[in-house]
Amino acid sequence: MTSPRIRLMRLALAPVAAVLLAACASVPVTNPKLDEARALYSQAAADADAARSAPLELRSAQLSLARAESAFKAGEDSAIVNHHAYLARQRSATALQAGEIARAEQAVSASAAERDRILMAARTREADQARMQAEKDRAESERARMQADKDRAESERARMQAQTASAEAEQSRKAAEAQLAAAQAAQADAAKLQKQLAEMEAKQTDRGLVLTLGDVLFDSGRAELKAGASRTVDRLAAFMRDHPERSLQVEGYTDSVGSDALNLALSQRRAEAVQAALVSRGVEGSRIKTNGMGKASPVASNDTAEGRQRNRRVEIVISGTN
Amino acid sequence: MNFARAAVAAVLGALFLGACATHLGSPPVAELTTARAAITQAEAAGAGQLAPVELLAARGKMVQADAAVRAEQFLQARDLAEQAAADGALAERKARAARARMAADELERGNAALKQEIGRPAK
Repeated sequence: MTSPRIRLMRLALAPVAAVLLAACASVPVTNPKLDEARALYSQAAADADAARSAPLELRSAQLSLARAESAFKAGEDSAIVNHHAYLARQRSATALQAGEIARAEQAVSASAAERDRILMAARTREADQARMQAEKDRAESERARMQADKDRAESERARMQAQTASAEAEQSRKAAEAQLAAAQAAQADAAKLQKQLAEMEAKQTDRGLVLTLGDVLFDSGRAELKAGASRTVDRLAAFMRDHPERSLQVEGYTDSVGSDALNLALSQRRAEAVQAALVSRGVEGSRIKTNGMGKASPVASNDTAEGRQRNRRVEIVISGTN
Repeated sequence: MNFARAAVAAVLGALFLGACATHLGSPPVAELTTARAAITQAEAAGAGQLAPVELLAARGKMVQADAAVRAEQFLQARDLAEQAAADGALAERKARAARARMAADELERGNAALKQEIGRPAK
């Protein structure tokens, strides 16, 4: 059993003893230069970039370190230990710098690649934008072109419509003019016809327009037209030339004096005489029919001289459109 | 017996050679040449601006090594030359690393500016 005081004294003496022991030893426990070299070498050896890019420096650092360690262990002069530790330290540092260089060069390569990528991306984007713009422009111009086409077609249609309308207007104007002219001509024709008919003293009857030439145009028992009839025949011929659509029925009549055969023949000859006079004035014979009626259809009594005179006559029926 | 004698001779020879190594009789030409080349390369890499501490250390040790050679302290000259070479090599790598980082940063800034200029960040 020792007292606490003695125990405390022993504890306090322990470090002193250790220091004394260390001092007694011919080899120092540590060498700061060697420690530093060792640490730096470990760092360099652990650096893959350094190991790869500076293998010779790392190897000589290792050798120097080993040489320093063995010199230290062998208790050689500290100058020798320090010399080799220094070499190991500097060579390790050199290897570490080589690793730094390798990393920086990798960064340079990466940055160059990144720069290329950025530029490529920018160019791609610009190209995309340019393409999209071109696409847009093309679509725009296509739309404008189609609109222009549409507008042109529209105006063409409008122009044609206007043309058609104006042509139609012209046509209807002309038609109206023609109608007017036709109406005027028809009116003129009608007026002329009316006038001619009035001059010839034609009468409207159930059979149509009838012109009566009295027997004063013929000598008694004769069938030759007298000179006094020429004016009436002239007017009739002119009428027939003016109205080619009309035809004539020339009917000869007599009074009741004499035989029927004689009267029929005489009335036929008188009708033919009128026909011949008209043909000689340029009226086609085919448009004139002749008929000898004899004493039939008297217009007055055959008992008096005046009545018989009225019955000796040539009636001309004007047929055809009125 | 012969074996044992040969082994003793070998050990003695090795010790002799080792003694020769620790007491160099001529300047460490190879180490000095290597150190000078390392400093030249470090200067060419722009270590004057980018790793001045290391470059100055290398130059200082080079001067000391030359002085040691003149003093016929060849062993010391060899150690100084070795350190100068190590400092020079570090200065060169450090300068090159700094330049490579600057180039990388420059490109990265350029890319950022490019993206901004283009207006829309690439997806």
